[in-house]
Amino acid sequence: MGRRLPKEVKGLKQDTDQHLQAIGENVLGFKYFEAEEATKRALDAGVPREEVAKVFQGLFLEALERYEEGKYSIAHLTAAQSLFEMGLELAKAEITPKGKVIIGTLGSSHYLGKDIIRLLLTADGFEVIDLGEIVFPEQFVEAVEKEKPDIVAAAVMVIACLPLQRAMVGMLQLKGLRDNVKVLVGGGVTSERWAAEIGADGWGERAPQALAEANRLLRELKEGV
Amino acid sequence: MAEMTSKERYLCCLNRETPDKVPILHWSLDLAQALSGVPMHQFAFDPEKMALGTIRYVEKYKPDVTSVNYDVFHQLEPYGLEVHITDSLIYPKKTLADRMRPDPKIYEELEYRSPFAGKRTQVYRKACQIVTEELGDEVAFRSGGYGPTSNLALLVGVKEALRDAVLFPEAFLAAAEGVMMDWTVDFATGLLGTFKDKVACFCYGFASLDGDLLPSELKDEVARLEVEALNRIREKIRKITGRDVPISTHICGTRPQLEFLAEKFGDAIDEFQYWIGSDDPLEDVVEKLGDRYVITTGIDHTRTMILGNPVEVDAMAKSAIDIAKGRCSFVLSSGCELGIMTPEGNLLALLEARDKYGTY
Repeated sequence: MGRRLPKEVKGLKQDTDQHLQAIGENVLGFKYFEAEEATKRALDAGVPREEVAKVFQGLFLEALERYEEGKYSIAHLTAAQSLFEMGLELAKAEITPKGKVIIGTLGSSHYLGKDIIRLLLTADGFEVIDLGEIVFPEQFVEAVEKEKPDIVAAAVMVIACLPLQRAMVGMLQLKGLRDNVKVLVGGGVTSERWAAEIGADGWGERAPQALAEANRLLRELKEGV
Repeated sequence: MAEMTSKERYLCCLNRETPDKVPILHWSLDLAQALSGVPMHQFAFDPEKMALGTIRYVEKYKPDVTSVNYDVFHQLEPYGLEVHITDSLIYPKKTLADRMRPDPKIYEELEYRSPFAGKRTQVYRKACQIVTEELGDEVAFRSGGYGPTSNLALLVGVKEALRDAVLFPEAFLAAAEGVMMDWTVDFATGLLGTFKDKVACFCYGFASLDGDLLPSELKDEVARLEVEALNRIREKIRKITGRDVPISTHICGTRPQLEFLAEKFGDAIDEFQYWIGSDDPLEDVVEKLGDRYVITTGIDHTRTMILGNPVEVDAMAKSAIDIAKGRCSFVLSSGCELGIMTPEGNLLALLEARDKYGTY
């Protein structure tokens, strides 16, 4: 397993570098409890929360890059996600988001893919509101009314729940909310054809494509497309 | 050639002989439940309704090979696993591992619990008995189960298992090789015993070896455990039934890596059943593996069966049959179970297409 640290780690000041280095090494070594201890030590020593969060963000993006290069498996990505969540929770830093996404799994309790995308979006600078699992279209619509997100990302992981995705798009339309929000759909049983058929704006076959689609949709929103 | 029964057709194919027609394999918990006339929360606890739904499914859509369908969690309930059962769905509510905080003790302290101690598993076994008594001479039924690592993943939670396999590989593998190995063999052989002599084959599910799911070093170790489990299952089946029951497979992932499985499992399996929409093109699979294994695929259960129309279903079936028929023993099959949205017209078109293009 590699020990290369992301650029963000290398560029930090000398007085915090040792702490951040320890976090990085334990995260990239997938040593969960050691990484947790190193993070607590860094925060206790006064390392700024934002810097700790930024290191975890960089490490998670590095894990994704390694996955894309075929060096990491989904299991690696899942473990990296767990470490990233732990780090963000401990740091509790505030980062200015580039866009707002509401995410959830329609109808079933599957969360592996949805959680990976949630954390990818977070690491990429989005504010993500996770509605969780077993979410129904009405809950998505309520959340859109309340939170006014840029993007709604709705996953369907079992065939039996596909109708819920169509219903969600229809309900956003009926409520007059559809023009203000981009709809991104995904999940193992969906397809580009399905996304087009139900009137979604984007489809992510896998997590990296979902992230790319979210960024594309955000650009479209800003450009008024 | 005289018309065969569905079961004869499939068994002929498994024996690598030429049947009268290409057999069709598909199954659906959702459609069986809908045909039973009762909601899922009643279906799940009523063996007569479960059997009725399956019998109606077979009579209506005429697969040659199918399964008595249920969820994959019931046998793990003696461990404290809990499920939600709604009007139309069964999915896990509580698994053993914590979602947020990993803990190796889950694996280190895992104890053996009988897979047949739960109420729902007893319901399922009763339903299997009713169905096979009614249809087991005419239609081929697969009994099956996953290997020890997949069963462990279902028990602790799939995402948690993937996470923990990287964070604590020793504890994870020790649990799979210890408690879950015995549990897997007992469940697989106990369930198969339910079907008695009516069962056509034992179906081994390969959920844990899909493409990029596991790190390569862990994948080899997992494959070793899976081979060991399957060999133990085969040996026990031989003792119970006095014969070698054919071993079919179920690989519903998008990156099935059939050549890797062939290398690891060799002659321990007779057939590969995988999703035509995966990244293993049928042409390549027939070319590389068709002389060693029965190839079972060709029906895209989502993109064509749900979204397509009868013309597209006809084209899909023709394409698969054109590639495989005559070049290997071939079964026209969905990659995974059919969904509730599958139009009846598409299922009937599938049968017509097989009769049109798949006669030997």
